[in-house]
Amino acid sequence: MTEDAIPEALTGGCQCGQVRFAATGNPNWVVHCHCSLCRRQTSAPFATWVSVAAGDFAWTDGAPKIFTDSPDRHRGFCAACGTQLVGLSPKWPEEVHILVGALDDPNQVTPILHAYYGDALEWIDTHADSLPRYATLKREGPPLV
Amino acid sequence: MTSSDNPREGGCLCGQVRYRTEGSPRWVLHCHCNSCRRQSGAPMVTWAGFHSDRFTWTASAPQTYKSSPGVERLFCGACGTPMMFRSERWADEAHIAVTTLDDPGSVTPKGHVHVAEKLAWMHLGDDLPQHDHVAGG
Ligand SMILES: [Zn+2]
Ligand SMILES: [Zn+2]
Ligand SMILES: [Zn+2]
Ligand SMILES: [Zn+2]
Repeated sequence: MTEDAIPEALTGGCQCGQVRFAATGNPNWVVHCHCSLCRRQTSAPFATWVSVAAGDFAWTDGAPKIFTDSPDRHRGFCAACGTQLVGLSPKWPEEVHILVGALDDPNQVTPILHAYYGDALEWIDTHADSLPRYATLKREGPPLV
Repeated sequence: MTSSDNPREGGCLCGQVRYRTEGSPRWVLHCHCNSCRRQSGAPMVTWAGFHSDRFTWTASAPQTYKSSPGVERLFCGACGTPMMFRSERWADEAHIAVTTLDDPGSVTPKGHVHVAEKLAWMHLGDDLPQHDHVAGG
């Protein structure tokens, strides 16, 4: 992509179609997270998140149900079909974190690193990619070797 | 086989939906299909197939979504956690998302299915067998 290329809008939604969203602009980051809370939300071995600016994000159909599992973690999912959609937090009011599987085309974005790899399940092996793996967050120390 | 053979428990994020299962899973597989990805939000979902007659909900039951004819995806209505896949095709099996187990490390995946739908940036570092669609055809 060239610097002045206009990014394609990211669209997505739930499996039953009642909740739909769209986001314009380039994502802030795309990150795999191996923490236990992400595993619990998605019921998958790890979650992949796309951070977009809150001002670039809109619900275009319906709205998700919000589950608050702690004051800092709000999760949005479709109440009708259970599809997991977004993560929101008063800690990052300027961002919406979209679960990559909720996108119509997850191949539109490219993950850049693995976070909380220190919590990864022992049977998950991501070493076939060349992305850096951090024990917790990137800002908290150098990548694991 | 005793009634307490190899028991496992699990549940959703908020704790309203809980289950108990006994016996070893028939299989444990990573699924890369679009439908699993859409429900979970994650790039792939890891499932274990338990005997349905040795599986019970022990607290609230989950909510059911019929994702296609004969196929149901069950999730916690309160917190949304995806829990189970149920299909007429495998009527005697309870397919449980393994990270809902209290100890996901107690089962070991043995392969990848629906690799034909795998995301381009998912690079698998393990040596497990990869099936384009389902294991064994
Ligand atoms: Zn829905
Ligand atoms: Zn996480
Ligand atoms: Zn729940
Ligand atoms: Zn699947």
